[in-house]
Amino acid sequence: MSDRVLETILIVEDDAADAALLRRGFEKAKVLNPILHFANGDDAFAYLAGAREYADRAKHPLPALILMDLKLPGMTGLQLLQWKRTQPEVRRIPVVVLTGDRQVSTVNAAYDLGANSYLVKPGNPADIVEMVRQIQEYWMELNQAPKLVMRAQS
Amino acid sequence: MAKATPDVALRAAPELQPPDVFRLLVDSVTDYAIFMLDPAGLICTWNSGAERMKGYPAKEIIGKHFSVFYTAPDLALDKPNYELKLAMQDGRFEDEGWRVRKDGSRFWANVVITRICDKQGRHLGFGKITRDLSERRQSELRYRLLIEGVIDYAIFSMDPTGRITSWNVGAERLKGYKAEEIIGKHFSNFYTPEDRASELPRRVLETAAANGHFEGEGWRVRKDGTRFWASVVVTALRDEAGNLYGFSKVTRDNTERKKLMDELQRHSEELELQVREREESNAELESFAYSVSHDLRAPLRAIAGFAQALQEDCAAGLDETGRDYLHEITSATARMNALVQDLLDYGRVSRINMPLESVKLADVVAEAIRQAQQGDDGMLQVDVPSDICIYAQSQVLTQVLLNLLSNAFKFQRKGVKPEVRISAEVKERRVRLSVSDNGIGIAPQHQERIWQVFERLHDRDAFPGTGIGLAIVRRAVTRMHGSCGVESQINKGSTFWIEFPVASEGSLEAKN
Amino acid sequence: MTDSPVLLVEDDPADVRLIQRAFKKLARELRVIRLSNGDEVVAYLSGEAPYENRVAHPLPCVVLLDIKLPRRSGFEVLEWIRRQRSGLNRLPIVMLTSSRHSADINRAFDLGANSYLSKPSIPGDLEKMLAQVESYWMRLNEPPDLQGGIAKAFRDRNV
Repeated sequence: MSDRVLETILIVEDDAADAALLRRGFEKAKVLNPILHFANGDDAFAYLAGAREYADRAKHPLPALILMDLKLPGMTGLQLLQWKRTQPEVRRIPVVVLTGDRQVSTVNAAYDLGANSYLVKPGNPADIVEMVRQIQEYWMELNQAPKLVMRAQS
Repeated sequence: MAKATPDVALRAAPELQPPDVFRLLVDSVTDYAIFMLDPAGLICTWNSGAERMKGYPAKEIIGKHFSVFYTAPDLALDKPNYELKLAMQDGRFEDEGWRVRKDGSRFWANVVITRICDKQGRHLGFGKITRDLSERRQSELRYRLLIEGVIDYAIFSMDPTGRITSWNVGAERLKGYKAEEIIGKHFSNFYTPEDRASELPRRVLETAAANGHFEGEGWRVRKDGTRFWASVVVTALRDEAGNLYGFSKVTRDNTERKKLMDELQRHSEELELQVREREESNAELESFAYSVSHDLRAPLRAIAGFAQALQEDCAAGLDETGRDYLHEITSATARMNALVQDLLDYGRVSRINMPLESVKLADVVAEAIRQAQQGDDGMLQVDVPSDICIYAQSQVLTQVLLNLLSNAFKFQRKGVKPEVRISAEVKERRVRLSVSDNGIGIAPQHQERIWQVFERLHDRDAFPGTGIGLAIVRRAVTRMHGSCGVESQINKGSTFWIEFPVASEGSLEAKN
Repeated sequence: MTDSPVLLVEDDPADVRLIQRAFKKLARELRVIRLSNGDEVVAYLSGEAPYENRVAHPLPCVVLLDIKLPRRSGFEVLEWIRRQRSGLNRLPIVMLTSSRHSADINRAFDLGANSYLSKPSIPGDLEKMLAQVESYWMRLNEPPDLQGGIAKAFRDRNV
C-alpha cells in the first residue's frame, strides 16, 4: 500500500478554473499523491509517450491515474485515448474522462476507445470536490492497480 | 646464349656455308626460341626451340605478327610494339613476362629483342630470343611459400584446377601422404565424402579465386581414412597482370582445440537448460502457490462472512455462549488467513531469484527497527558498526531481522522487562550479527525444531504466532549463502545469530 | 442514477450469498442478476434463449465478473464482450475476484476491464467495497449506450 501513496495523478484539463477546482478537490480529500497538470493534449501526449525530457522516467514517472477532459487544444481527448490503447507502456493506466460533454455519441466514443470511466462535470463547481473524493477513494484505494510495463519491480 | 664465331665454325666444318651454319646452329638449339621478325614485327624465321616452346610449327606461324605470343592484358597495353620501339631505339630490349603458347597455356619467359641492321645501317628487322622460365619461377614461389621444416602446418600449392603441385613436411605429417604419391592428385582427396558430394572443394577454390583467399574450418581426411578438424587458409596466386596461376593452401590440425570448444559448448548449454528448467519450475510453483492460497481463502471468506452475518442478522437468537462461539470461529479464520499468507511468503523466499548486492548492515538493522515499531515496552541496544557490508538482498534481510527482533520482544519472561541487544562483529572475513534477549530461553532439545515450518513450542494463548518466522529466517539466510543458529538457556535468554561473508568495501560484484 | 441491474457473475454459492446480502444492506433497492458460468453470460448479453425478453432480462449497467468460472473463464467472457460491435462492447466490467496476482490484474486491464477489485478477507470490508461499487458505477459514472452500434457512434463524430 505504501507504494501507491507516491504515485502521480495526471490531469489533462484546458480550463484553468476547472483545473484549479480539481486540485482543490484533491487537497480537501487529503490526497498526498503528486498531481501533474497539462492544459493541452500535445503536452500530455509527450509526457505519456516519454518524448523529449520526459524520457527520464525517474524524473517523470508514468501516472497511476489519468483524469482527462475531451475538449483539448492540440491532441483531443479521444485522440489520446485512441493512441494510448496501442501503446504497451501506457495502455493499462486507468483513464477517467472528466468532461462537460454529455452527448450519447461522445460518451459512446470514449468507451469504444477504452476509457475506463466517464464522468460529467457537475453544474455546481462545489460538487467537484465531492466527485474528486470519490474518484480518489475508488481509483487510488479500492481498485487494484495494474503493473505498468516500465515500472521497476520491487 | 650460343656463342657463334664464324671463322671457327667454317674451319670446323668446311661443307657448311655461312648462312647454313647459322641456320643449323639456330635450328639445333631446342632450349631457346630464336627467330627473326621483319621491321613490322611479322615472323620471318622459326626454330625447333620456338616450336617446342610455343607450340606452333613453322608453316603455321611464319608471316604472323609476333604479338600472338602475348597475353591479352599485354596486348591491351600494346606491349609488343612498345618493345620493338625500345629495341629500335636502344638496339636491344630485355624483359621477363608471361607469354602464351599455341594451346593457350602460359609460361613465364625471358625475352631479348635485338635490332638487326645491315652493314649500311639499314634496318632489316629484329631478332628475338625467348627462354621459358616457368620451372624456375615455380621453384621460386615454392621456396617463398614453403617454409621447409615447418611441421605443424601443412603448406602446399595447387594449380588453378586444384591439383597439387608442391608438398611440405608438415603436409606429409598431417595428412599422411608422401610428396611423390600426392603431387598431381586433386586436393579434394583430403575432403570427406559428404563435402565432396556437396562440391565444397570447388567452392573453396571459387571463393579463393573471387576474394583472394578462403578461410574456414572443417573435417578433413588423412591418407589412412581418419578424420581431423582442420583450420584452413587457401590463397589465390596471381601474376602481376592479375591472372590466376594457382593456389597455396595452409592447413592446421585443430582437433584438440575443437574437442575443448565442444565440451565448453555442451557444458554451457546444459547450464542454460538447467537455469531454464529451474525458472519454469519456479514459475509453475509460483502459480501453484497462488492458486492454492486463493482456493484456501475462498472457504475462509465464507466462514468469516457467515459468522458475521450470523452475528448481525441473528443477534436476537444468540446468547452469550453463541456469541462466544462465533467469536472463536472468526478468530480461527483470521489465523488461517495468516497461515496462508505465511506459507505464501515462505514459498516466495524459497523461490525468487535473489540478486545479491553489497548491503550496509547498519542500514538494514535501522530499517528493521523502524518497521517493528516497538513501543516503550522494553529496551533496545544497537551495536552495529556502520562500515560493515555483506552480500545480501536488502528487503529479505530486513524481513529476517524483523522476525528475529519481533521474537526477541515477544518471548518475554513474566514480570521481566524485555532487554534486547543487536550487535555485529567481524571475525576472519565473516560477519556475525546477533540478536540477544533476556526472555524465556529455549531448552537444548528444542533448539533445532524451532527452525521448522509451523513449529511452535508454546500454546497459542501464551504467545501468538504461526511458527513460521524462524523457518523464513533460515530459508532466507541459506539462500543468501549465510548461516544461522541460536545459543540459549532456559529462563536466562536467547541469542539468535546470522552469519555472512564480508563484502569488500565498495565492491559492486554480485555473487549468485 | 440508473435503474439497470447489476450483473453478478460468480460461481461460488457462498460468495454469491454474501455479496447479495451486502447489496441488500445498501440504502437503495438494487436488482442483482446472478449468473454462474461464462456461457450463460454470453447467452444473456446476446439475448439468446431463454433471455430474449429484454423486459424480463434487461441489460445490466455494470458487470461484476469473477475470473474462475466454469465453461468459460472470466477472461474469455471479457474478451467476448469487448469484441462485440453492437455497442455491448462498452459495458463497464469490474473484475471481482479473489486473485491478487499481478499477472491476473495486468491481463484484465489489457483485455479491457474497466476496473479490478479483490474480494476482501474481512467480511466488513466486502460491504464497504460494494457500497463504493454501487456509488461509483451506478450513480457517479455516466453509462454508455449499449445498443447503439460502433459504426453509428463514429459516424456522428469527427474523431
